[in-house]
Amino acid sequence: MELYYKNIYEIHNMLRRKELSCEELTCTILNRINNIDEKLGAYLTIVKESLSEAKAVDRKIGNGDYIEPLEGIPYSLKDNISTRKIKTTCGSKMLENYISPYDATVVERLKKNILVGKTNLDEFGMGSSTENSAYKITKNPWDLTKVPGGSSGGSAAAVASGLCFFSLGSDTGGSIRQPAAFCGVVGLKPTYGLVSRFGLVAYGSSLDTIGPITRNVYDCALVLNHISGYDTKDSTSVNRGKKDYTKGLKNGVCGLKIGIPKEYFHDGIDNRIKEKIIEVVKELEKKGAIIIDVNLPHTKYGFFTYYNIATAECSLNLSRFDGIRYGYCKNEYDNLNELYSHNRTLGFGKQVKKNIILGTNSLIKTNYEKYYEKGAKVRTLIIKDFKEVFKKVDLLITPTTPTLPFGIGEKIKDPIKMYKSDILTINANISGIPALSIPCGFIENMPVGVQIMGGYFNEEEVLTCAYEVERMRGEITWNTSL
Amino acid sequence: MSIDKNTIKEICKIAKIHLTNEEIEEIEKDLNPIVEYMDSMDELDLENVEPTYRVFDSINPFREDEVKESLNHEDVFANTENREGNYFKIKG
Repeated sequence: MELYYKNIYEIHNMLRRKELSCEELTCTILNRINNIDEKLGAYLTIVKESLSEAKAVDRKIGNGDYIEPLEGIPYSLKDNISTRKIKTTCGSKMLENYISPYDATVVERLKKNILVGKTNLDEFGMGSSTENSAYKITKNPWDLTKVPGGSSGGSAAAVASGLCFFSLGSDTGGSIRQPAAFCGVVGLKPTYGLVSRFGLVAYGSSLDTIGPITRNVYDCALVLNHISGYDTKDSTSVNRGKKDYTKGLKNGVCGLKIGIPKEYFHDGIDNRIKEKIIEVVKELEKKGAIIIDVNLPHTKYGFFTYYNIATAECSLNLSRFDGIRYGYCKNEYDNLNELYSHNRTLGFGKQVKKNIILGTNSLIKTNYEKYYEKGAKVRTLIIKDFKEVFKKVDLLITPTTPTLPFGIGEKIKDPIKMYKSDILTINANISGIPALSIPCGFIENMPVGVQIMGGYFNEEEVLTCAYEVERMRGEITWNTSL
Repeated sequence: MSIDKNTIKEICKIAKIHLTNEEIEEIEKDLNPIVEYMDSMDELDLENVEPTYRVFDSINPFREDEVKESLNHEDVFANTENREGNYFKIKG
């Protein structure tokens, strides 16, 4: 297997045994980016300083010092996660030249890693195909005519094509899991509050979550070990102490109660995808899992809740972009109003403007009760559904996406169709529960993701089940023809 | 209730975004199916349901009132042309 497709555990051992230097490793990744990213379009910024960082790790190994399991491993970051001294554009013209004065907490927690670049995304995380970036369109590594999903499409494509060993994405309504499913990689949206959001450029503050995108479950658990944990800089961070998420991976699923919610297997889902998920469930049953049919009656209202809450929060969060302290600024104006309007009109793209308008509409005095507050009330019912169901089962299994990866340009003109790409993922954000997507097979040579959801802070069992799915599925043969 | 051109114009004023007539037309076409769908949401009885704005209650994490290092001024002002000394300056 090519070096750039190896798993983190193998790479760590090679570094430790001095079979490979961190500089060689980083050079391999940078060369691969150089060779194929023009076709793929996963990266917006490449970090040239990564080689000197790698040399520092080599010196440490040379001195015989201990290196941590993740240390020196090249990774990438979705470009809405703030990095000091490196641009953070959010895929928007608004932040074309923006350099954050501080690192996000997750970046601080990965300081011993080698950041090779910042990845492409739908502008400010708003989209499901990475076609809404102001800079480029990212392609799906399995078929360059298809989208990689979104909004963390750059991260998922980079991981799937060996352009880094792991990436961090953000998930507001499925933006980690849907691209992970489309690109054939593992994507985890942790419980809301488990990973600090400090330094993540906010889209929907009560929904946003940072999480790992990796090529296998062990790597996912390892990255979660590093990025999770309480942070006083984020008032929504939850203090639950540190855990080692790699520990229980091999526990197996014997005796685990797995719920199959019928609302996630409706007519709008591609039948072939449904069949694949049912196959996975049957295999898990053979391994001793107890399969239970369950109901989540308010599932279908997720769309209503999500678009009221996410767009309202987006309209608030994006009100900070006035071009004065940072961001796009056209210094030709007669009054303040004109300055704000110029900057926001020229800085934001079409999808962002749409979301701001929809969200502002939900929040104006005459509509507040009808839209935003109503959305928040329905949210209560959706949360109640999950709380009830998790009294009966440990985990839930569903498809991650209703369709296979779609063609570039196919849905961009149809907002409803595009929004429906997230129909199976949004309720995990609305309720704050952990949810992971793992590839479970291929249809028409395109990967299919199965989604595993758990109760609050039950990442361990979600990962254990994912590990079992991975064992049953076997190794993925990555597309090396790029 | 659909979202019409005048409503979009009013919202744009609040949101400080300027749209051309063509853009307003396009947004009206795109947003109306969503707004109509939202308006059709009256089948649920929400009379006695409390809204949830946050999944978990968050508490302000206070720290000791000690002077700590703040952001580096040069890093902060590097993102603007509107600087005078250590102030952001714009025409009123």
